[in-house]
Amino acid sequence: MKFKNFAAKVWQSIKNLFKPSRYQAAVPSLISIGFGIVFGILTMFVIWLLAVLGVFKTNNMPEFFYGVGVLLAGAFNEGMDSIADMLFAAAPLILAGLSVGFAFKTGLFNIGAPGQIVIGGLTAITIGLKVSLPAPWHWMLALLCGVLAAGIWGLIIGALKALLNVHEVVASIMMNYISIYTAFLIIKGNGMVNTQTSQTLQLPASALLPHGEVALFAYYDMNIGIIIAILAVIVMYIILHKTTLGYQLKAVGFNKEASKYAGMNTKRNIMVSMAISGMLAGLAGAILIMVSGKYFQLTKEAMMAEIMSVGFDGISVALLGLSQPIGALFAGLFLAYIRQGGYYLNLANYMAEMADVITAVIIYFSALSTALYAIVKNRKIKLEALKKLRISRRKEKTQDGGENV
Amino acid sequence: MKKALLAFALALISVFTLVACSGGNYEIAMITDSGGIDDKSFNQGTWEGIVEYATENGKTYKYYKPREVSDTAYLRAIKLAVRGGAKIVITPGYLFETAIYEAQTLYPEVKFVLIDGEPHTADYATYKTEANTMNILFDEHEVGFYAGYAAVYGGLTNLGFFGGMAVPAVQRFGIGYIAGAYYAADDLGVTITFPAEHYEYLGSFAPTPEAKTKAATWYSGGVQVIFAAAGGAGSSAMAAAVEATGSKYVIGVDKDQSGDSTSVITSALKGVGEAAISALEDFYGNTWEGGRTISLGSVEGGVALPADFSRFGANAAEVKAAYEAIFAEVVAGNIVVPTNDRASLGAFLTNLGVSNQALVDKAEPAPAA
Amino acid sequence: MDYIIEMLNISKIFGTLRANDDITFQLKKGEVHALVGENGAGKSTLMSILFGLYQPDAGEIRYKGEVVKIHNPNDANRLKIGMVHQHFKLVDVFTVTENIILGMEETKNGFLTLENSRNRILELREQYKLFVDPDAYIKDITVGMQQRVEILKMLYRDADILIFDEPTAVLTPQEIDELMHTIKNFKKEGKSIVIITHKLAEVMAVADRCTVLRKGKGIGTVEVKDVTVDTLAEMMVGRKVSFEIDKKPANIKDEIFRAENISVFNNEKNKHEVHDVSFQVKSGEIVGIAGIEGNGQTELVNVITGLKNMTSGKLFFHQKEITKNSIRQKLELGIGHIPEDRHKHGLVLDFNLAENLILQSYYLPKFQKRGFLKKNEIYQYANQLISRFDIRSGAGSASITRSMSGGNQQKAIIAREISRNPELMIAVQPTRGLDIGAIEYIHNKIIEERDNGKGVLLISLELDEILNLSDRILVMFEGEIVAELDPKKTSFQEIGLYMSGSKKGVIAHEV
Repeated sequence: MKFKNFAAKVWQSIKNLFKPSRYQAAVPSLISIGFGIVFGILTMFVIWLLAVLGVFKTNNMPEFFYGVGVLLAGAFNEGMDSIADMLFAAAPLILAGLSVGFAFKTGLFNIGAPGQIVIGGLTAITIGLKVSLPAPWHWMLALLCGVLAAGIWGLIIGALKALLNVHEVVASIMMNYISIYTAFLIIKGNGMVNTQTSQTLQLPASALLPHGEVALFAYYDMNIGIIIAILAVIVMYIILHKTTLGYQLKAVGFNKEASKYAGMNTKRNIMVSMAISGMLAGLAGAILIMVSGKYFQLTKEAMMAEIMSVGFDGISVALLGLSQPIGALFAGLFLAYIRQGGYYLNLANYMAEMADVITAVIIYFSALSTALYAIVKNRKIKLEALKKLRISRRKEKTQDGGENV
Repeated sequence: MKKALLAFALALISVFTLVACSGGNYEIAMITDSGGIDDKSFNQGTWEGIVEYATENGKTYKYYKPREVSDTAYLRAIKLAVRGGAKIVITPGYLFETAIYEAQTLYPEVKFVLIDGEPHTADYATYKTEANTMNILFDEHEVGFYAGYAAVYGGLTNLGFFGGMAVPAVQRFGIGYIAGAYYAADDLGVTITFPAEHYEYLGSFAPTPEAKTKAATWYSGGVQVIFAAAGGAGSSAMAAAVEATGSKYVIGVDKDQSGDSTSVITSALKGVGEAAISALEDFYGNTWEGGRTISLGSVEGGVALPADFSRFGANAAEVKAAYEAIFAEVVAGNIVVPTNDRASLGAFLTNLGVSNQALVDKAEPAPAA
Repeated sequence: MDYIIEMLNISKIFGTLRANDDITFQLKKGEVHALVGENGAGKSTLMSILFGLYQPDAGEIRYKGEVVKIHNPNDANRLKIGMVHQHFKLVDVFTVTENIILGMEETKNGFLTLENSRNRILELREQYKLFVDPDAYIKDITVGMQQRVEILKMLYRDADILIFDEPTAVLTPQEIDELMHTIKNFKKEGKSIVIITHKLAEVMAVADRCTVLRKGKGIGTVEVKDVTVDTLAEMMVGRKVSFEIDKKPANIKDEIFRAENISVFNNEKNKHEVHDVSFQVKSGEIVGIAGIEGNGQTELVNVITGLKNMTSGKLFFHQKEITKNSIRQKLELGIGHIPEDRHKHGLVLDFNLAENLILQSYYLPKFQKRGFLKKNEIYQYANQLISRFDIRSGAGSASITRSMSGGNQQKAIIAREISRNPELMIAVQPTRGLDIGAIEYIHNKIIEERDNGKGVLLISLELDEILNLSDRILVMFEGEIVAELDPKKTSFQEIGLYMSGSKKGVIAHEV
């Protein structure tokens, strides 16, 4: 009997999960994804046309249809190989999106995620190279320390805001620069540089995220990163929606004054929120770097392009995912998917950056589309109301007329 | 709604069928390093060589951009190139060493040309070059030597050096440069100024305001010429040289950079394009001989200064003659230019009766104890 | 007929809300026409359409019988329509003259020439007896004077049709009298005047005709001399309304709360916002604080509740000092607070109703266990309050608060505060912007609290409210308490004199 109840409950929650109303909020995001892809395809078409007409001199003609094919096929281009690649690339994106989105939810703009990613990665590298431990403990420690260090990094921004009223965006940007040079200082000062390549040294196998030999996990770089990311999504979902902590943080985020009025410690909440956001970014950084063959390159430009960019992508993911943990999961997967498609555009003689064009358009649209959607919806409602008004007035008139006659 | 979904699914299916039936067939492939093919340096030089050979000989060719900078991403890009029909894959730069190590066994039927590096495992424990792989290194120290020699011979006695990063190839440029400068000073019986603080590894190959400021400071402090072995960062030094008062110069690197700025007096050429061409000639001429590392120096024509010395002004002919003479000496083996180690540079300077240990320390820092 | 403005069958729709539904409004030349209705009846929308701020979705406007389109306030100015908005549109750091000429400055060689304008303003000032110093800065003059500046602004632009949006909301009774006088002057000059208001006494005092709106619909236009206040009220609310508040005599007992010598010094403005304020609130009484907006009431409340720090002074609750207690400690001790601004302080608008109802108590074991919210208990609790306090909303306890009406939002706050069962209830402007039904309800709840032996501190800008509810009245002027009055023995006029600082009383401290 009890089981039956339980089963009914589970069935109900599954049904709820697929209720269209639950996804109403995602409509603007989906619309903008559609727009972005259409725009990308149009751009590809124009490029192809210009090449055919000879406006662009090119040695290798772009192949339009093939290009659209590989772009849309995204992570399905090379079967399991590319699916594994997508999941691998998605994990840090999801975590970065989670970090920025969580801060958004609590009323903060954590543009410091790139710096926190650097600190998370730096700490993981340091533990990986400087501490000797057997396998599970070594990578776990590196991961944990990366998370904590980046949490402190975020906490500094939060404390600056809460205690000294320094706007978090200003503090974040400063901390981003500080993070790069802190990383260089620690890496160079502690002999963690490969002098042949001016990169960090290869981490020992014990400090790499487990690779696994089953199913998808046997492919290339694929590791447990994606599992960690999904777990983080679940944990953040629970924190935001089921706990008093999340309740408080959201309250402060939505309305700081009202939270203060209600007796909440808004300063502490800002600090806690930035620390959690920093921890998530740090997790992203550690996962990013605890991979065989992935290094910090010791130039500012390479750090920006290869490591910090994940943090900036996190902003896109958060926007696209409407700052929701579940949203970050889907948005991160989508971004990885379309980038994977972009990568295969190499084959069709298009630039891989086409994927970034699409992402950029999507972000623009998702910023606009919430507004557009509201306008369209309001307009519809208004037109209906006006129509009703006219009908009722006409009725009144005919009734009046009838009486007169 | 359902109809739209159905249409979308149909579109997807047709697209997938299209995917299956195209993909191109490009025999010569290049994988780009972190910069693009227009980086005015390594990628571009290699690519231009490939284009030159392929268009002359009617071969198909193509470059691929990896997803990110990591060993696996490079390996995946190689896989993509193979899927794109590559028979020979050319990779410019030492960052490909680990990826090629893996790829050469994964794709034994494909030939690999690794410029500026030798395949090894990520931890440097094992070096191995299979028969389908050829490594090409350059004697950067020799061309650095010519650059320093020509500069001093041309009357520029206050010198500076910008290195992108303290990696072996760049260090070789710098060490050769120091040796050449002091060698010319000794020849001419002049004193040159080259303090250790005017020898710098910038930690970046990108043009930055910091690099420009640093160059400007050096120029105003009396430095007459800076050898910028720093990729794009060289343009920062050029901008500073143009803006500085008096005649200030830059020595370019890798390619002939005289077109980039009037301040470029000469360039330390590295024949990456030529290297690519000669590897392709071997491959298509059935004279491929893999499993080895070749070093292209003055003898092989891998390094040189450009033939045009007009920027030296009145001294042009004289400098050109001096350069050709010293080039012949090096080719003949009469001069052994120190490579990338502090010991040989120190010994070289001592032989000339010069002591500038601080500069030597800067060029290749002593290994940590 | 000699109509100067006719608005015929005007409709305006915002989203799902029909702000104006087929309203007809006709203004005769030289009359004072009152436009009355409760909050949300559509008065401001209608006048904003006339002033060109909104475009009607249906209907037409005629000026002297001709159809006109008013696309923006400039069009309205051209038709000599002027409007004094409820919230003045003045630049604080400009002088009166500069504000009046703003937008139609005279210049010579690119430099401002103020002399002509200043003279013109002085003429107008004499003509209509609107005394303001043309060289004073707006930030230095009283709200009443600022209103005169707004009126001068209309006159300077030669307006013949003058619209006043709730002109008396911020005035003292004396200032209201003066305004009524000014309006009668305008009428003598042949100007046509529209007064938007919900205060029927003013309508009776000054208007010739009155148009009543209710929920976006026009209920009718009447000659004021033919109707009574009660008929107007009935037209406005749609049912019979009693203005009398049933109040038992107070049963005053021990002191609950005492403030001693509270001062708040504002460093930026370099003045005391609250200066040496002392008072007490006893069990079973309602203490009302009257005063014009901006005379330190808000700051005083914020100091008591802990939202703001005081410069000096002490607070006592049941004789125990609570000066340094945190907001949460004060809440836990038993202080309830109905805040002045329900959107800024009272509610998290993006939370749903249930979440808002536990805003101060979410951390109590009743609603959480080991950091996890007990959703079932929370929604059960919310449903109880919803039925007990008759809070209406689209989706019950799960309604997003933003989507609820102002009255129901306020009910939610009151439900939350009362159900926490505080000893001292601080109610600031508890009925601002609400319709009569909601006002009655809230007044009754406040009296209920008092009758249950609680202490109530009521701060309001509405003198009616203060007079009707309070058992004791304190008047604040420029941060100080200038009078303590017995509502039974005082009058509007007397309180007004204290509010405007014209009279200072002696306050007997019972310490």
